[in-house]
Amino acid sequence: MNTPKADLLQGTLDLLILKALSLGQLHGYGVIQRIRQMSGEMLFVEQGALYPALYRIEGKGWVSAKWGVNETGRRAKFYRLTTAGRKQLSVEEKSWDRLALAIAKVRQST
Amino acid sequence: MTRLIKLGAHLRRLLRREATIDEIEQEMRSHVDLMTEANIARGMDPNAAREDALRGFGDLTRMSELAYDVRAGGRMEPMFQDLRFGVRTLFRNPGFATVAILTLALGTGATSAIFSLVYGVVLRPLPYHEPDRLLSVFEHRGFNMSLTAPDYLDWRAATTSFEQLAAVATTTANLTGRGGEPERVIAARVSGNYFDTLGVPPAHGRGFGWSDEPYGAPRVVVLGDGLWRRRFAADPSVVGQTIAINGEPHVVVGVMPPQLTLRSTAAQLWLPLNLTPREVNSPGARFLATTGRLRRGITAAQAQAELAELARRTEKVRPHSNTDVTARVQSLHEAVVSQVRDSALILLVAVSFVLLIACANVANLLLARATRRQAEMSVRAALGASRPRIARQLLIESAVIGLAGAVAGLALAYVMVAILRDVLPQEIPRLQQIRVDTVVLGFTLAVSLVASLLFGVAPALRASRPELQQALRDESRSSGSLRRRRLSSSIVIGEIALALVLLVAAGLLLRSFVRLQRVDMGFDPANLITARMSLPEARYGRAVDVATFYQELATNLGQQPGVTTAAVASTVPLTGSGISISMTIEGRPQPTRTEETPNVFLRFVSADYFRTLGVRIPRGRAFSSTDRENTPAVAIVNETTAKRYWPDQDPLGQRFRLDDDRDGVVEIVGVVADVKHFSLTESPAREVFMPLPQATQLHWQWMQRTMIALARTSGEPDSAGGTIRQVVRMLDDQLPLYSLRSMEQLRTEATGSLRVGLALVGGFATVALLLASIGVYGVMAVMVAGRSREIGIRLALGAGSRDVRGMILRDGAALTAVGVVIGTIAALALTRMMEAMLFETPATDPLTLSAVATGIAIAAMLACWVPARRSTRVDPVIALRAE
Repeated sequence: MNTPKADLLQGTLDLLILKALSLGQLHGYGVIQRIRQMSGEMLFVEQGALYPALYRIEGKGWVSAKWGVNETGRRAKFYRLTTAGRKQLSVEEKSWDRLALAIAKVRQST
Repeated sequence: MTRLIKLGAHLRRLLRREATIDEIEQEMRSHVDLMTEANIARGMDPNAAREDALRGFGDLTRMSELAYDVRAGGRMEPMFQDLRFGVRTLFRNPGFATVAILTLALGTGATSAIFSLVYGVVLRPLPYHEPDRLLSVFEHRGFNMSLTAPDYLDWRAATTSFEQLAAVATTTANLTGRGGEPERVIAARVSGNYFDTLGVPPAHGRGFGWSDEPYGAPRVVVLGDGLWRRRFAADPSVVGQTIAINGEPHVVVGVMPPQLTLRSTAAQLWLPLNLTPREVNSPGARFLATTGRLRRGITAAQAQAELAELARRTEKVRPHSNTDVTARVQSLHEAVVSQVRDSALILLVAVSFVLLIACANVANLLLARATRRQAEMSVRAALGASRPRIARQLLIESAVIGLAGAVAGLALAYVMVAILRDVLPQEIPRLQQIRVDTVVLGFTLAVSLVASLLFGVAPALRASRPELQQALRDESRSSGSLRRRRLSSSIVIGEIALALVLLVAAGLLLRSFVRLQRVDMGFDPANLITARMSLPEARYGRAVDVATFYQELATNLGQQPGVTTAAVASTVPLTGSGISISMTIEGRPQPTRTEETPNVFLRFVSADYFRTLGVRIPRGRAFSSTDRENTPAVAIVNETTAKRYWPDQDPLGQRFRLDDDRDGVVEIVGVVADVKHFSLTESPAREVFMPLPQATQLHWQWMQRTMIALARTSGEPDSAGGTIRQVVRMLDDQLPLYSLRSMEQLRTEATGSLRVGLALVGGFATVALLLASIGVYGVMAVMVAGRSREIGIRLALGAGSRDVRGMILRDGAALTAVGVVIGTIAALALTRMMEAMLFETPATDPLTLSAVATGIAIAAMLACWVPARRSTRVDPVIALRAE
């Protein structure tokens, strides 16, 4: 893979997962793929990082999980955003925007 | 009921947990399936697609358990969780667990047992009331001595630093009548304040008081716990009854609790001091072991200063006996344990070496296992476990191994302590009270945790290294092992060094032991039997009665079938006692200073003593039946005495006076070779022998009319024990016979402490050597396995199997050499500690050192041999493909 990769900033993983799930329910592997697509192949989340984050988010009640079958007929566990998750997503997005703005300002100064 | 509810909740949680793990595992499998599918869709070969998907997951079951750790997060007690995980990991690899736990059990068990000994004998406070305030009091002239009766009485009256000053004179007592056969027991005559000084209340009845102390007071006795149980069936009503001691009726006034007896060889009953007028007026007889209880707030130094002042006054009052005699105090605890402390500590050091080697071996096992668990560790790291978390997990696993080892070790400790109680010399104070108690349990726990750290820390840090994990991700199993190899090498070097020190210690003891066995005792010990007896004053009041009895015994015994010659003597070899007496040599001025006064050990023997023992008589003659009570007093001196006091003269015909109640002079009629009368290690003492009939009333009193019968037998000496018993019973059926021993037995007892020290240190050294060899073998085997690629290349490039083997052996030899050098240096530094235990062997004995170094080098090379041979069987093709 030659595409330049951006390193994930600590704490942004939750935002990415929530965002990926905001477009519809996905299984774990699907989340990884969706993030890759959305980032234009720049962000690749390893399963070792994804599942702990998913379980943590599930524990907080932002996503709910249910076993189901995918389009090729394979059993997989699907995650879906809850109302609380949707709220959290907007909170995270806002805080991310603030952070991005702040960083941009810092960079423009001097 | 609540218990049941709790149990139910616990079970439910457990089931839910299992379900969760199952679910995670399913999810992981599904992830792999989905990814495989996607990979195939992208055009990958199905096998490669699955491989790719599996990469990073490792063992799926394993992984899901690990994921659970993360997922459980704060819900479960993480330590507890790690603990359970540690236990489970151990069970998964029972071979590893068994070896590690057994190795540690050996180390902690032996260490705990020796610690029980050190704690029980040396460290534990004495079982008296406020033992810190108890001091031993000595008179001192270059060395510590017991007190004389007049000095004791003066000091006791004058002291203000001590609340109490108590005195003990050890003696023996014949018990007859109630409770069984006549028997001889060790007894103590004690001052009226003795029990109060120690602060031990009687178990029954009363102790002694001042009214019991004076000479001529009613005869009373206090029984020790052991004697009371053994002879009086632990009957409390014995208090108030009358028993016969030395043929005299004594009223039992009390029974003491067991803790008052520190040694099995200590007094079994107590009599009042009852100092005789003669004793009170004997300024030269130092026979009172004195113990003082400090007044509250007074320090030992203050007491010492006061006694020194009292000693100066005494010096003026009794200059003849007390010139240059001062006073010393020592804590009673110190006085009791000082003899054994060093040996006990040496054993503790020795056994801790075994423990260290055991830890090293387990560390090696863990390191080797860490290599095999690299995939697991990388998965854990990938799943978000931090480095400290992984290290903690590994340390907890080590602790689980350590604790399991400690539990198994405690079983070993129990057994070892029981054995130690039996085999160690019984003179060791409080030996019978050593046990695995709570203090020892605490020690074992602490030791096992420290040990877990010792063997666990290096592998844990190594395994949790991020760079290593990076290396793992490349699945290169040997590249990251250089540091690991270095660590293993240091461990092996340490093991060899430790084992070498122990082996040197054992070698030195062995050498001492061999030397001790070869000591020329001055007589022929084969086929000799001895038995001791003491005649009661009540029936043998006059000297002539005592002499007649013993003469008859000697004569009778000599005529028994199976007995070649027989004798009676006040001391036989290796039993170590005697009358020390000063003498005045005729024609020489009386020395002004006491220490210049000629001083000898006086022994009384029957005519055939030297012939029975087989002692050479280089000059003059032996005693004969013509040396009688009323014939001129004669003596035989040993060579040491002759050399010391008549260096340039012929001792024969010389005359001297003894400081006793005899009026006339004694003439020397013979010189005998030196005999080891005290112990094997003694330098010969100055001895003077006199014929038994010429012992005076005073002599018999000093000797407590005790003599030892001695018979040389034609066959096995043990069978002659019955003969001696028979002859004695024929002469006096009320007389207890004791210490029935063959001379070989006496010799074995005389080498007892060295024998036990050798057995223990030798045992530890053997275990150490074994463990170290296993360690070397293990490390070399892992090393060969890790280098199989390199070996494969070498073989492929045309190296012969001989070259490869040589390479591995060279590596092993290098490690061994470093270990031997370090060990030798350590041994040179440490064996000095044990100088006191050695006999005619320098602590840095070069022969022992070189023999041990050679031996351990051979053992290490043997341990390398198997892996080295295996290395040559590496198939180059397979070895290269394996990477």
